[in-house]
Amino acid sequence: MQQASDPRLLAKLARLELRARRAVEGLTGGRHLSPIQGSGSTFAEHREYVPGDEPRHLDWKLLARTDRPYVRRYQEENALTACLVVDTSASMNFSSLEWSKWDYATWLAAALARLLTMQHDSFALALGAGQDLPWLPPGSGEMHWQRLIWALEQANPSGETEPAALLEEAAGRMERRGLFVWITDSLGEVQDATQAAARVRHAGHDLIVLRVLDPAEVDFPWGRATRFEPLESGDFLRLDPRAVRQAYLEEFENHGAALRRGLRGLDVEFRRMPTDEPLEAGLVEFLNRRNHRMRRVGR
Amino acid sequence: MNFLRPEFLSFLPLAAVPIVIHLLSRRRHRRLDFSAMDFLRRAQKRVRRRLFLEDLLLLLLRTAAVILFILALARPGSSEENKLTLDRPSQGLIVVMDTSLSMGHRQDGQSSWERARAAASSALAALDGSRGDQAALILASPRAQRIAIGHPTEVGAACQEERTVGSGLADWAGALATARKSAAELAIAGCDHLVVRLYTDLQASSWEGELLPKALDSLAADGVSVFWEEVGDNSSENWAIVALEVDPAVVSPGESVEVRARVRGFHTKASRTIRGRLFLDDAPIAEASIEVPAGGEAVWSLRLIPPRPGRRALELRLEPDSLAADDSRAAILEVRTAPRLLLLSESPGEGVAATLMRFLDLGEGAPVQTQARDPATLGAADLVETDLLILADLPHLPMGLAGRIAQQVRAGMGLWIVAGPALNAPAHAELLALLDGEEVRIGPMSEADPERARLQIQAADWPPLALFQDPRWLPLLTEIPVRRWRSLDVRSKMIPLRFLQAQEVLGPAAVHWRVGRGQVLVLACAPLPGWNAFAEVPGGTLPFLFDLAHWSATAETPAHTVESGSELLLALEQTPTEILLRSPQGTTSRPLLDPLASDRAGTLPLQTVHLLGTWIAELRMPNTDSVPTSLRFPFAVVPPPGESDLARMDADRLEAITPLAAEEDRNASPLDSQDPLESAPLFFILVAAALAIESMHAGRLDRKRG
Repeated sequence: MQQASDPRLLAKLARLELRARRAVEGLTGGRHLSPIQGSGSTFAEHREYVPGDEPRHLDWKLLARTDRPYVRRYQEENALTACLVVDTSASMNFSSLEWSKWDYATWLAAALARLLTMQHDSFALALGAGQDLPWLPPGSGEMHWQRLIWALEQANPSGETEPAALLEEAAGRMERRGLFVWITDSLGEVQDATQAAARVRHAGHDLIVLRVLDPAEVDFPWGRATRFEPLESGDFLRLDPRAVRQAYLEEFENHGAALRRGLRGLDVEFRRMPTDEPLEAGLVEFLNRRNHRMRRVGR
Repeated sequence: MNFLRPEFLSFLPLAAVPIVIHLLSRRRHRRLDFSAMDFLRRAQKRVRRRLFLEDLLLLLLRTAAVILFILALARPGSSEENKLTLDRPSQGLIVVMDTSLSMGHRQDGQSSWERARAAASSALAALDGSRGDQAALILASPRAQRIAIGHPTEVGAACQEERTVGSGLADWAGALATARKSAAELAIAGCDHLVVRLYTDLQASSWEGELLPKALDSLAADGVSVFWEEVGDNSSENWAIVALEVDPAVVSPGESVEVRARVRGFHTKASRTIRGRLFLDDAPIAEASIEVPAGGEAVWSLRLIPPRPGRRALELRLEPDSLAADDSRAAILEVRTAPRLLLLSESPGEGVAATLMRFLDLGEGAPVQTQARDPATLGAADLVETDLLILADLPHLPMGLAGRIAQQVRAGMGLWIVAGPALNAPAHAELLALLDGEEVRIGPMSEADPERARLQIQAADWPPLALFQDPRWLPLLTEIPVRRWRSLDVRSKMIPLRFLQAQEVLGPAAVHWRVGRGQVLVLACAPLPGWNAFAEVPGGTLPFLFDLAHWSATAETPAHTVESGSELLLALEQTPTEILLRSPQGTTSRPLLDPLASDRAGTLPLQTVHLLGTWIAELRMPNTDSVPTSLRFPFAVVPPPGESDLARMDADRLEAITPLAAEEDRNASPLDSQDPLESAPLFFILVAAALAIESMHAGRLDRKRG
């Protein structure tokens, strides 16, 4: 049975908003409970009930009056501020499937934002590959989420990745310490990525790196002689892919391992996100990390 | 290395096909926009050298397979000479083929000529025109001729088509001179290595030319290698007709002739009876059975009376042996019609004219047909229909007659000028001048000085004695003071022939010369009845006059017999508009008539005749009053002497004429002595091996590269 966060299913949906909602539904529907235990006492707003919400949070009176299910939201539960940093380098345009890494990254970002919205957390969005940073300041609520969707839809991946500048810029704009989610393919130098992660961590933020990879980048499956054109910069290469596959895979794995080691040394959660896998793993990773942070800050 | 099918070598560029496919496949790369280029670059850098070597090996194996396959198709051999390697210099091969009669000698079902042609074709096929090789083909026929020069394929085709063989001697000196000239042309055309190959049976008669050593030395001096290849076995016995004679060759109708054939056995160890058949105009007329002694000669003869006038072809054909060309031989027999004599006299019943008519006018069926006519009544057509015109003691000639007479004489009519008491010397002087006879002075009897002759010779080179040198008339000449005739100093001028004066009754005197195709006879006096009393003249005066009339009335005709390989010459006063030559095999040719090619004597070369037997020349003449519009001359082409004697040239002589270059390679193997097919299977095995290794290597790469 196809999961709600299955990329194949999401790809069939026309709008990013719908895709994000479906992804989140897939996540929460499967558990039959809300992953976030709201414990505050200050009423903040009503929200339409979604499957997975605790029945005890239902506003029964309102249900009786309107015959529609609403849950009550409290101010304390919205304390987390997340910064979604999405890599818009040209390499994100690569695709061996019906959707590109960029598509997948936007779904992921939108789904995460949806989760945050559902839980009354605030979130910011940084789009970019370098210093020129399109920025959606921290905010919450349905309207903010809609702004995020719009911003993602308007973005166009191009240029080269400069992770250090990107994350430093984003960290500088965050007023509160929060949770950074860096959605990237991270194909650049390991040292650049770890330096960027270190700056985020030194600024007191948590960091999750969700590395979006196309399965073809992982498996290098081609058999015919191919002229490889660079998506970012440099000269093309004429190759028999079969002849260099083994060496490529070794290079790729070595790079991944070095990246993983570097990020773990900074206590950065790192997860590879192949674009042919459901978004669920990334979302769960995010939620675990969020809970971890919430516990650390004493709530 | 030689190749039996060198034309396949032109496919060698196909060896580039794997390379071209490789290059094309590079162009056919699909395009892919890729993200992880840094990993790819590092990966490529790591494996680049290994990949290059692996792909290079694959490419070399595929290219080698193609090259080996093409070489195998070209059927390589391994002859040591005439190496055809990829880096060898271009070669110029001059093939000289012996076409002498002895090359027709057959052994084991194949003639020496056929063996020579096969060997020459093989040598030409071994050349590679695409590498700049060139060739020339020369026939050492009696007149050496170059048949072809240029691309080896074209020369090889000309060699295959050549059929001229077995009729005459080989002109080796001429052939080698032509070869030297051809070598120079091929050197100019870019050939680096020049080779002359002679294909011959080393027949002694053809190889005895004095110019041979010089010609061979000249070639060697030019840096041309000369090889010869002996293609015949000249130790065989042979029987041949060495002569076929007709005696006399020219007869009158009803007169009999004797046909004599001489048949000889060469290197024969036992006598042998040879049967044959004699043909007249291709119709058999007699059977012959000739007993030829061992190593000797037999004469067979037959007397026959030809049935009708004209030139008739006789041919004796023996049962053929291993050399068939000399087992038949042709000869021409000419049977004349009765000549038409026209006697011009103002008083036919008197004097000289009466005497002549008494001898010559013998009525219907006589050997000569004679008419007497007054010059004043002579019509325009009368001279055209006359074979012999007799001017019998004419006191004068009508206006214009001298010119018409001279024209007819040049066209072939005979002319007698018979002097007598009434003869007018100035009138005849004009005629004699028109007939190139200015030196003949005929003076009237009244003016004759007893010390001077009426016939005077003024020119030193005048041949007045030609008539009397004919042996048939020697008996007659006994009545003439022969010793005094012969003692004449003909080199001095104005010598009186006083002993020819009629009054002295010393006998007739005459001078004779040819003008054009006709001839003129000036008789100092008329024959007298008393001549019949000469016991020394067989038959008396009558047959003498008939012979003299026949002889004088006959225009000069072409020779009846020519040797094979001779150049046919046309010697006519008028050039025909067309000549058709019909060979013994029935083929016809039309030689070009180029008047500019004629020599000073007006002789025009037509063509060289080779085929033995009876040829016919048909001449179409311009339409004039003086010459018939169509003439037909049969003639016999006979082999030259010596070729029937199948004897290899003397070894010492061979040593002497062989230059150093030829001597070193004298025993070199013929080009086709090794079977070129022997190497082909090896090449196919190499092809299979290359393909197998390529398959293994490619499979390994496939597995390795997934």
